[in-house]
Amino acid sequence: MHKITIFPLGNADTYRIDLAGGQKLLFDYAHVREVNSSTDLRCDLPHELRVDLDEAERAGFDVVAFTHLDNDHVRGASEFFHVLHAAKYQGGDRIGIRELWVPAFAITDGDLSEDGRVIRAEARHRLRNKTGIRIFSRPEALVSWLESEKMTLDDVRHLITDAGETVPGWSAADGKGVEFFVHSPFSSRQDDGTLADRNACSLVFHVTFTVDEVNTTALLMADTPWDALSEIVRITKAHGNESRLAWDLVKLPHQCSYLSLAAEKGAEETTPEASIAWLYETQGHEGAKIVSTSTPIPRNDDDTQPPHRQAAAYYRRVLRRTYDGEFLVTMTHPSETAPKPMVFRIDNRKLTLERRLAVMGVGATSVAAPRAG
Amino acid sequence: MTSQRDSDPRLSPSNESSSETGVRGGPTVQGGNAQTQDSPRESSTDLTGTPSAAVWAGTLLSSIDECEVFQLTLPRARWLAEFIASGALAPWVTLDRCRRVMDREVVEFRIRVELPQRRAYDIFDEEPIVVVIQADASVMPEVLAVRSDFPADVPHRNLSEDVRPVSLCLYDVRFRDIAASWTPSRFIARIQEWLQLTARGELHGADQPLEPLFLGMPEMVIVPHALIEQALQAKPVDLTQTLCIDLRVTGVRIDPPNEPFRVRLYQGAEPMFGSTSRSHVAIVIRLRARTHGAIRSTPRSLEEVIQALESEGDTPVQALRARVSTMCREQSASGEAHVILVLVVPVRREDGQPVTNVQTLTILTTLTFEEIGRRLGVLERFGGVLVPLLTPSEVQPLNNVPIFLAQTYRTLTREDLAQQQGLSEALEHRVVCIGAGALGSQVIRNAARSAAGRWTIVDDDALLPHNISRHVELDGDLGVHKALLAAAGANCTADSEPVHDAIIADILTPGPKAETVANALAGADLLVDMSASVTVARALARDTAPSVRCVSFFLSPTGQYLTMLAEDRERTVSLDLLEMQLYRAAIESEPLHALYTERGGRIRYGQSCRDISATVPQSVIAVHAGIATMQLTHLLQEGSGGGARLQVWRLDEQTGEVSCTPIPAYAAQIQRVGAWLIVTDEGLLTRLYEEREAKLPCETGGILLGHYDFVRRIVYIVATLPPPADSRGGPDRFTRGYRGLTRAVAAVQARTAGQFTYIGEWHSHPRGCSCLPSTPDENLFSWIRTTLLADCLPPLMLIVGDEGAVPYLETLPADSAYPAVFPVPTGFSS
Repeated sequence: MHKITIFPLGNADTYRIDLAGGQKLLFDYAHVREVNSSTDLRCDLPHELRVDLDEAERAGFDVVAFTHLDNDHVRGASEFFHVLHAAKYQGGDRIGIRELWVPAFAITDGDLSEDGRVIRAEARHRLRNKTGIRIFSRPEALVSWLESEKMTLDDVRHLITDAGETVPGWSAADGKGVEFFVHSPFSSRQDDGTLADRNACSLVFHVTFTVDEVNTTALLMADTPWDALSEIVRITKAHGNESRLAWDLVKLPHQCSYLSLAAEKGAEETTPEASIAWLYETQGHEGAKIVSTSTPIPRNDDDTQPPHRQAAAYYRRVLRRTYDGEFLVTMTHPSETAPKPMVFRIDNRKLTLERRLAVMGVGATSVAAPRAG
Repeated sequence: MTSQRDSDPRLSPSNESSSETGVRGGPTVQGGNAQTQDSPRESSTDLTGTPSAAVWAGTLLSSIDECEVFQLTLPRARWLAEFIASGALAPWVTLDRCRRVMDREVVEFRIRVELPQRRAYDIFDEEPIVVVIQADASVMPEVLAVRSDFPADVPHRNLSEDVRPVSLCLYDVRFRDIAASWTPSRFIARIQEWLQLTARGELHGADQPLEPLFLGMPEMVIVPHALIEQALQAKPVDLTQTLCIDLRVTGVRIDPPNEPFRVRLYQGAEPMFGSTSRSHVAIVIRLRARTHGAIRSTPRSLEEVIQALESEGDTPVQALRARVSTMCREQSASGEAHVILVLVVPVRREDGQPVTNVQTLTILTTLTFEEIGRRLGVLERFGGVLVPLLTPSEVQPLNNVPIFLAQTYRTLTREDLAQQQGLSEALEHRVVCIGAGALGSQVIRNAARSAAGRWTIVDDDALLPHNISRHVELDGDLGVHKALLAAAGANCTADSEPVHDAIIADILTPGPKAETVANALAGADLLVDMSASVTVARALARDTAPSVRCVSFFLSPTGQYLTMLAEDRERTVSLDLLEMQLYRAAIESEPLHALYTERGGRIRYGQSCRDISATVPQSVIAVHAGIATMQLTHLLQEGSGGGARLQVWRLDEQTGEVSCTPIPAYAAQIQRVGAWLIVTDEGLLTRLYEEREAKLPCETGGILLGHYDFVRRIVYIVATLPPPADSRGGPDRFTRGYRGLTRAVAAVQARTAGQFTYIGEWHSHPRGCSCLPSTPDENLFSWIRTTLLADCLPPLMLIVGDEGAVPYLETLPADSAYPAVFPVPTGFSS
């Protein structure tokens, strides 16, 4: 059984994938909770992660992926992780990272917060040492940075995964019951025939979990705008990779912003761009779920920032009409007054959203032990 | 009733207007509601239905029963309602309302359920639940899933009069066994778990009989499993047709003759107790294969049974008419016999899948065979003789024919036995067992109960009064051969063709049974000796030499110890050698010193040292029989690599603690010298070489202990004792001292029940020397000869040197040749 845990962090992203084989993969890190606040309903992320690692007798993650280095995806990371490049960020009860996954622009771009800079420095350090790192991009996009480091593409090519590929070590052949397929960052061919890197795009994975030959698929997106998503769909179809767009679970991009569906918000419901509509309306499976990592969906338009009710209305309608599915919001699960991490178990019956009665462990204690006679 | 849509919790999970009508008091009940309106039943006094369901359904029509939580008076109802109202389970459980209905109280709530994306049963995200609590606190609170379209074919529901509401069967134990630990939180957790496991199709025990919780079906029918199998295979094997099977139930046994009705159906074999009667006749009907149970509500008349079956596409009337005619023609039923209908229902998991399960339902009718034939329009009496009609007349109404559903149990197969005992399958190995005494009879019965092996029991004893206290058989069997009793008892553990048999013979002198015994041995996979006779074990090891692996189990005289001597599969370490190594362990291993001590501390001597004394409690034998059975099961399951094993279990009768002493089983070393076979083992040779090594360059030595078999002319050299303190050794000499030696040998004899005696001397030769006797050795040998010949024993001297251990027996060789050489054990340079 595999597990995906999505943490309630307001309008910020962090989720963890626990594989049946014990591997743990963390996606983003946003420690946003006001420390010592009694009214902040967002979860205490470092605490949740530490408790889980302690339970598993682990001191670190097999993979920590940063979909991009915006503050709501890396906040507090410099205080939480044990990084290799600077003693200042080492020791104590810091959490280890076996393999760091970042998009190429995390290596090359400037203008970052303190936490973003630490992650960038760590990614560069690991890339220079050619270990414990995976970069996602068209390899050529790194050439100029490599030249400045007096390195060649051949030195690090094996550490780079382009869109349209599966992540080495994490594909079906590796026997972990999971396969990560990369949709973004990607490049697209321009009218003049040259390739333009969509480097501003954050990581987008299509994950296939397999249990007893039953597949469960998840489309895990970060801050992907509609035109990028539309292009991902177009390119993937052009390569005949439609199966990489099938979904049982979608982690919505950008906190349920209408801008991940279309340029126009719409009055009551956002009308998505055509290929995005195709993705949501035809590629889902019965009983599918869509998760918005956000605050509750507002009832009005007073706040221009996401989440947007018009986008939510679209997702809800599609799920209800087409898939008998469920639209979930991290900050209202299980209730708006007491959100808790959202846990999906994945087994041969596909997704199960965990609903534990808080009072006690269910199972052994709720039945009389059988008496053998 | 208002439309169905608004009660669909998927679409509107909560907060429906409670001001709608009183009907909104609970979710809608589709069928049940209409029925309630048409014919309101005397719900609370109707003992044949599910009273709680009826109570609940009856309250639908009005809201006057509603009450506040604090108005509830029954402790469990109040506790449950208060707990939910407290919000402790929010947001998963929400209280809807409470009611007081006559002497019962009702708590209604909604529970949210963890659902897999792919569901086996259509459980909803949120399910409305009604709990009915009776004034009688010994009655389990009944749990009703009241959604109008809640799946009615779920396993583990209580049988109720109507299809809905579905009454959840939460526990597979009686409520009184959990009443003391009942809490609202556990109760609700169990309800949620039931729903969740049902949604996954993983609620265990789906093949259990429907729980007759409120109906209290006291009637029981026990059906031979073979009958069910034959029904499934009956031709034509067209599982889309209803078929009355041409299967004859030869008799029914009814115990006791009055209420409640408990019936066992027989085919062929007669019961051990009581006798069968022809007062009832069973008709077996195979229904069409389906994906759920046969009958989901409780029919009250034969008419309702037929309607229920016909609604599933079965044609019971047609099938019954044909079968009743045939039975009448064949005169296989008397007209006065009451009719029992056995419904065999092939169940498949999903449409198009093979049949994986069979349900059996038994219906007791109040009609005789003649009456049912007349009602079906196929029988008539002409001139006092009941005959089938050539042209059947119309079927008469059957709605005034009351019926009783009986709990149906199927008899066990060997596979069932194995499964219940935790074996993956019945073990069909052939086991020949020598001895069906106290230990043997119990081990055989144990093994038969777990379908471990097909046993042939060889014993020529008859059951005598003094056996009874420690034997599985009983007073009524006195005088009968133990082998027959053991085989018959073993065959009665499953309802199958006999697989165990008996040979009444003494294994040592089978006489006319010699060929039978030989055949049994030839076909055996394992020979189990529980004869408690050393003679038998020796014979098995040395004389009969069957190619089959042997294992001996026996108790010590006090019953405190159980010993297992198990040969390896290739029989390189035979029973007699294992026996010798056991004696050696009794000398050398402290926990085994008392192996042959009798109760009261008396020491026992003599050949029959495996006989138990007269005062061993049966409880002790039962413990050992259990251990022996476990070991036997392991041996049967062992693959080809089964090595020799020697183990002793000691039971502490005060604390009940059992400790196990494993003893290493060493490979045999056998040499022939003259007319004698000299048998020793790697264990002793290793010890002798260790002592030699320790004293080099000087010589060392000591006495040899062992056993003679004069019939087979075997000397077993098994043990030695450390040289007495006054022994003297040099590079070219060794003189064995004597201080304390007599006492030491006496102790050896005590610890081995006299089996071990002094048999000769050994000494080492230093490096570079041959193992030929020197002149002092010749003197030593003639001293041994003088000493032992006085006791009619052959003199033995063993010289341990570079070339091996050389035994000199009876005489010294005239030429300079070794009579035999035991090789130097591995690890010692020669």
